[in-house]
Amino acid sequence: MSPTVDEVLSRIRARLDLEAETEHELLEEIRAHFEAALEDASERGLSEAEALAHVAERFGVEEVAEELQATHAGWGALEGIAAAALPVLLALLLRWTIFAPDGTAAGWQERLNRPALWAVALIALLFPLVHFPRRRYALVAWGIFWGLSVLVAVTQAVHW
Amino acid sequence: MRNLTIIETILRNRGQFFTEIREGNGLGEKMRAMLISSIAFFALYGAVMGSSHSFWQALSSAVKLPLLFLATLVVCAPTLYFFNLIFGSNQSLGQNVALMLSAITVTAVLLLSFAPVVLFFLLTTSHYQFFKLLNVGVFTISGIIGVVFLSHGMRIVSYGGKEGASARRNVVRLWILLYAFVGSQMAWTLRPFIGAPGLPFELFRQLGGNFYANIFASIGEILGFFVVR
Repeated sequence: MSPTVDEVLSRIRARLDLEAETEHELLEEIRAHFEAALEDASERGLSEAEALAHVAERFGVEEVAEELQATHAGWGALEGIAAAALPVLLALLLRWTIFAPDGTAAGWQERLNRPALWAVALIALLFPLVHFPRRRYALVAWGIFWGLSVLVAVTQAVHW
Repeated sequence: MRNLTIIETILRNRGQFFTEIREGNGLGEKMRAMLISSIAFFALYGAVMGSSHSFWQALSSAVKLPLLFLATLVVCAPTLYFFNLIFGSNQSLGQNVALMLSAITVTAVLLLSFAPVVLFFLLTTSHYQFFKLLNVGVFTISGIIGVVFLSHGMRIVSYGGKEGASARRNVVRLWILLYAFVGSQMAWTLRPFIGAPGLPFELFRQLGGNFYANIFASIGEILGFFVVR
């Protein structure tokens, strides 16, 4: 008896050990490929059962699963690390350019005349545009830290 | 970048990870990946800590924090290895170091996860003693979870040699105490990591006093009993 698309996908899923969200995205992508291939096969005159068997064989469940696991393993945590680390790093960059070396915000207005501040600030501003899957979280965190940094520099009101 | 992906393996597939360490499978690769990851995470957290004072303090702490953990590992590794050996373990020094590195990597990634929280307080408070105690708290939580991880790993890795298993468990517990003492003294020796406000940047501070007395003094100042100089 030929497998259904769902059965083939669950066989692949059983061999994966990735984050649930990543697994879901990958399996949906495979489903789309699988369905396109099925359509192709039935256009060539194969019955649905034959087409499924043919496509499942062509895809190679074990190979696909192994390849996906090898390619995507570990990247979920890495994205989390990037999402946590990048806003912190960029906020520190801003802090080092607008704060005095002793850590105070005294005389921050004079610093606005320095090209180095604008160069670093521009790099730090553009950097979050780099695309990675958890960039929305990183962007929001980055916005909060930058807002706080500027607010503290301009007014001591939020400083405990 | 590929080295950093080891974090997911350690955190999600720890059983398999420790089994591979027990079998000595890819030990060198794992140790290199853990070393690179933990250095990167400690460096970032160190930079956050030092940023409350100055750029140079941030840079200095970014270098000193990885050094603190790795130096503590180097100092404490032989003790764990030889005591385990006495009580019937068949693990090599490399396997012991790999286990300790896994604990350090877990501590490092947890510190990284706290970095946004610490940065938030860094931006919104200038209370030095509070910031110091906040960091002590963060290090305590991360360190405890790290050593719990080590203890779990030890159980899996030394599963093969059942003889002396209970004695080895006690060795690990005592070793964790030793690790905490050495670590805190190492931190005291390598200080400052935050940098006292009003004092100029200094790479190392003069020795004297100890870590625990300083923490009690900080708590005393926060509660309003006295002022720490």
